[in-house]
Amino acid sequence: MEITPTEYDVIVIGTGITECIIAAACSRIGKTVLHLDINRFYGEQWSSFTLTGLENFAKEGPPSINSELFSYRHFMQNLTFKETPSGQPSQENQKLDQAKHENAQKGEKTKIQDDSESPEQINEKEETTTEAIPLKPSWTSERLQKSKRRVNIDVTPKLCYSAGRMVDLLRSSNCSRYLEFKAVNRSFVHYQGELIQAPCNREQVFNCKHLKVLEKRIMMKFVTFALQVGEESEEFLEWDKKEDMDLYRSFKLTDGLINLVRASLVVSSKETVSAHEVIRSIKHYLKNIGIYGSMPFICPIYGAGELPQAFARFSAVFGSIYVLDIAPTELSYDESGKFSGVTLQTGQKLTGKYCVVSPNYTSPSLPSPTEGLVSVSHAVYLTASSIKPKTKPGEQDDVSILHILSRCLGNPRPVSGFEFGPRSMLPAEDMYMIHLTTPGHDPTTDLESVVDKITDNTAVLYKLFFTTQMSAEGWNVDPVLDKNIIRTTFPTYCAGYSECIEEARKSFSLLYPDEEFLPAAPNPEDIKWPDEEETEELETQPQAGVEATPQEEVEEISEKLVDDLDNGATEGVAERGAVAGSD
Amino acid sequence: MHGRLKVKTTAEKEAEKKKEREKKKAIYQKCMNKIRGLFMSGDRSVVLLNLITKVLENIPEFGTLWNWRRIVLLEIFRECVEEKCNEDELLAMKTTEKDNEVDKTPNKADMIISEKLFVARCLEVNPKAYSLWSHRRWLVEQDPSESVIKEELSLCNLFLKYDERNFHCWDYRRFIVTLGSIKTQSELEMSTSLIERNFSNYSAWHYRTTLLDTENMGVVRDELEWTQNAYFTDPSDQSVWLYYQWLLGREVQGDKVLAVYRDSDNSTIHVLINNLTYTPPSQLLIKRMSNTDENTDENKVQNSDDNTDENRANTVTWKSSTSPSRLWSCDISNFGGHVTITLGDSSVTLSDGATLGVDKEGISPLVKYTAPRDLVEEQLGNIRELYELEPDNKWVILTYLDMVNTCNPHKSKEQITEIRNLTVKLCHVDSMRTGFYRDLWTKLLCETAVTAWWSNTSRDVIRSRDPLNLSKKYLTKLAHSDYMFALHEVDLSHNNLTSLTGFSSLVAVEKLNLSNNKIHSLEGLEGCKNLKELDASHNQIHNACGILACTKCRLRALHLVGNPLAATSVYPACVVQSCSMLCTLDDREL
Amino acid sequence: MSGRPRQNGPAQAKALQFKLVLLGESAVGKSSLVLRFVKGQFHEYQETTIGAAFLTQTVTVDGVTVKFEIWDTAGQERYHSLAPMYYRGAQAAIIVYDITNRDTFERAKSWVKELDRQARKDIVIALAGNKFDLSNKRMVEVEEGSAYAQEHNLIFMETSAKTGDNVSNVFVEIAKMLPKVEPKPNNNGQTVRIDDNQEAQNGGGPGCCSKN
Repeated sequence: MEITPTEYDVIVIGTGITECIIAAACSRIGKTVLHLDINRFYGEQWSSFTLTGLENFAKEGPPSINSELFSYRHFMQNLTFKETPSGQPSQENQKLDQAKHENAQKGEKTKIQDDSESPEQINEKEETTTEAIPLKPSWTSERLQKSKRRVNIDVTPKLCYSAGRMVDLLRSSNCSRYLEFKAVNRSFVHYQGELIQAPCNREQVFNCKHLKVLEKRIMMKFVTFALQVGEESEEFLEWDKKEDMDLYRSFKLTDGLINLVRASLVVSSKETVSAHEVIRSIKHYLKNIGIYGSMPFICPIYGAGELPQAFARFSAVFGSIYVLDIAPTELSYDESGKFSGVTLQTGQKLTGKYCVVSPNYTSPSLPSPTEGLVSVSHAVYLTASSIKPKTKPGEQDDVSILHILSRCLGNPRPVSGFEFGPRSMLPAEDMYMIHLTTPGHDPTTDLESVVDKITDNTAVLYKLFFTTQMSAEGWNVDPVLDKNIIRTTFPTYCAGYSECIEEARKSFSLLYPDEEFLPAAPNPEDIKWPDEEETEELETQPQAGVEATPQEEVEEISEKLVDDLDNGATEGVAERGAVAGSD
Repeated sequence: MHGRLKVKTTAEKEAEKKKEREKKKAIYQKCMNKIRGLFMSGDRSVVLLNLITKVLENIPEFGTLWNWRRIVLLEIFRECVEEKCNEDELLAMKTTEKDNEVDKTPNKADMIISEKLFVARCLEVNPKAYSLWSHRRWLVEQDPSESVIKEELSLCNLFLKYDERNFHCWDYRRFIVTLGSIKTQSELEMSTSLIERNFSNYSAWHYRTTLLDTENMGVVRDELEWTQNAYFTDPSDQSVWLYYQWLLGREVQGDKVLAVYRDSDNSTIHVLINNLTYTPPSQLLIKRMSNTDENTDENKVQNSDDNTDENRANTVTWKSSTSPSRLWSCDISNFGGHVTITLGDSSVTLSDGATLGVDKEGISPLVKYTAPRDLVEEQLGNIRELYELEPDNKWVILTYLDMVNTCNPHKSKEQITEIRNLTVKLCHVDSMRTGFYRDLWTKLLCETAVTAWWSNTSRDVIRSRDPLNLSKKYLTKLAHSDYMFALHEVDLSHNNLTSLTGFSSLVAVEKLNLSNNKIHSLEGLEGCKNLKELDASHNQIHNACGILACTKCRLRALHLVGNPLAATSVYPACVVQSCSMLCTLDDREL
Repeated sequence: MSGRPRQNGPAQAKALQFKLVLLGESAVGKSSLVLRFVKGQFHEYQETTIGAAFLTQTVTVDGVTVKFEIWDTAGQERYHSLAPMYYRGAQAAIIVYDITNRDTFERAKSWVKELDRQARKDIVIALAGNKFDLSNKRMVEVEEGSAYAQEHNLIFMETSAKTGDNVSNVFVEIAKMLPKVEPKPNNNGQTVRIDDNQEAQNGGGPGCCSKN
């Protein structure tokens, strides 16, 4: 497969979100871009896998480059499909079948149990399960097998702040038209031994059954302060270099409230947070509320992996060439030591002025980043129902945030993540997906017991564990253009996308300092076609074939009117005036 | 390399838009002409209907066209029915396709469904067009089945979700609820869910007031607890406070006579009743017993039996100087003896020779809460707790103030001071409404003073001679003046009065001190026929017109020093001229 | 629920909008087909127009106006790099092959399978054998295409972007098959679309704190 053309302004290797945004920005200003990825899919650690895809991937193993000069390290490690003690994904069917069989025999077993549990526990749990959540329609191994293609698992689950950088960029570039989002509806925190809906906005505080009225006032007073205090004001500056606890105590927050605020409003993966960070975080949180719903976040339907694809499409629309399932075996440099092109696995040589490389690709002169990294453990559970089923008809359970503070449930580090409902299009129909993360190297040890505990009310259909490499929150290093190569970094371990957008923006300005970063793509109506004027009479032609009806005069006119009136918005005033006059 | 993208310039876009607009305008006019022509010629066909659809799609608020549409639809509906009866006509109507006649017949039910879809689509564009909602109403009336009602309710839910204060939709909902006899409980739940979504929703709170069973104290208790969550969460939200006040309720009493006063010259009787009315209550009767048969109740029974007194009573004409009024007067031609005034079940007797008769249950302009005392006390505790947390929140202060006032008809000095401090605070935290809070203070103070005065008087009628001292109270006006109708002496000096509105109720007053106010004119004193001593010194009376009202009084002593008028050349001549009975002016004998 | 206009003045009733994607091998005439449909144009050596994210065109069937948001592949099919996002949520697809090129027909079949696996279950698919004007060089018989379409429940038509034959008919036929559903209260699929002229969505409430 020969790639044409062979000369490019920018060659981008890896299709993570940062690389895709850079590619989009370059092609938008008319640069020629070649965008490559060794994988057969877009996004690398920013992608979303179907469960089938992930299982196949586990069987086949990650791709590799047969070269000493350029290599690829995969972004997911310690992948475990945990269904049986032996951990063989293939045996899971058998187990489901077995469960089904037993079900038929006993006529009471409705839940697929983890084999490691004792029979007593199983019985105990089953009783509560059958009472609490009638499984409709019950899951069978065949059904699960069929649904796997419709399950989308984020490698890096993240949310977009409703008024955040990602939303801004999507809007300002018009890239947003490729995407649809779900608003995050609920937020749960572990509070006094149970998972409760965190009061994150005024109405939730009002509705919260777990707070006393006095606590409601204290909480509202505190968050109102955080929202309204100016960052130059004395009230703010006096909290400089102070701890978060001092701040909480000064506002008379009870221990319970402190837990709630820390878990729900202070969005941070860091272990210690200063008073100033608390105020800034709450301010940011509250300012994003009410834009797309009562919570400050939205996430793309079908998973976070849609975002790099959207920017890749944007880039392609502006002429970038996309080739997947291919990688360079070597980067070449000119006599001055600067990047000059790549040699592909096919042997084809392509030239380029600049190169952008994702962190998964390394070469002797381009080692993998080592500093500021954190290993993150992931647990993904597919369940037959929500861990917090809806209690009211109007409630929506599309996306819920879960936050379990340290010390709760015996886990040493805070565990946080999401539950996705079927309408988020991440899990398949009738299915829910929990995706939790915590810093760590051994996902099963780090997370299984915690997730088992919070899912003990629902039937778990599937468990998946893996780790990924991420940048620690707050570890932001500016990109550098070295030998005409820019190396991008790992996703930051935090909620939003501002870090990678900032990285893409800075990278772009290193390449083309005087150019605008991702100006809006024109609206389709505003595009000027080569010979528009001459062909105008053809405009209504498409509708000509509609419905052959008796060609009465009236009908003819009405048909034409129908067509013409539909061609755009009515300009109200003048016409209304005409109407008024005619009455 | 392939063609670069060219984008239209703003000017090009403008030109294109204009062209499009012109084109559409022409089409629209043509279309409207066609519609008008067809409609006027009596056409009621589907073709006309479709034409109307196209225009309405663009201009959904075009009321006339919706009217025409209904006329056309009615005709089509009628034809639907007829066609079913008359197969021949059906065949005649068909032009070519006769294959599946049954399917092709426009079915009324289907047409209503598609019509509803059309209205819904237009509502999406303009959810506040009267004509759309009324068209929908009409459609529902065509077939108000249970399932239709259910659909309409969910439509309301949707549009109230878009805009929770869309009054068109609220109206429509009430219409549907009535039409479908929807249970109150489900409507309450709907209001609850709206409030849970956003409790700054006057409409939803108000809707509750039309649904809630306030007779059931358990319900009221739950509601009070629920609202407590709301006002603790956001004490600045007015809608919750209004609902909260509604929950506490205000007592409404049946009409009742409170007090009767006989003029010193025994020519007029003044009656104070508890409710304001625009016309004299028809049950307000005056009964007179001559001195001879005053001894027993039996006489009254006899009197009511033979009805002669009743008949005479009915001929009395009640008058009042304001409208509405609590104070009703009638002329009596010197009938002495016992006089009994009755209104419904209540009555007040004026003994022979007495000038004042008083209801024994006490008289106060203060309106109590309907909620039981213990509940109110509990609420007062909650509000006090919130007040301590939010001492600067106007709604909290206002509510607290109101509760302190209402819970204590007879106030101690400390309580009055507290009320005073709360109003001062209100003026500080909400300086835009200082005038309102001053008036509020005036009202509360007058209320308290009047209540105390009547309380003393009820115990001992002799004390009705007690003067009412309202001096140096920062009053902006005389509030509850009707309750002061029997007072003989009132001191209002050193206040902020600007006019004498309401003073006409002071029918018994003999001595009035208005010194050191900001009064421009004595207008309003006309009704004070017994006024003998008036101190109006140090006010803002500029000219002789300002004292014209005094001519109707029998003033003996008047003080006008310190008014601009007193420094003019016409003074004091103009005063002496107006007040013929005057003996002293500014302490000087005339 | 995407942004609902909240204006006071008169506005047009919203047309029902559908996402339609084009699929098929490179050079079968996907872009030409769209351009013929939307602009009534044809260029012998049509290249992908840069910067057109998608094009829109309306069709009226049975008195209902349907607006198509037509997505072209933007060349991403060239090296088999078409992202799944492309056909996600698409309510309609036109799979195009070139009747003079057998391979493109085989590729079209694999797209049918792909959509069956990945796309919405209710997607309306049309199979279009393009370059009907070159039927003298035909390599795929009408019967073959038609039989395959019938078997897989697809709309089938042979088209010519060059002459315009059947081009609008494909779209009209698709429009006829699409559900003309009205907005329903509490519909299952409330999604957010980020749009410049979009105000805050419903469900927001006035945020956490009062503004006074």
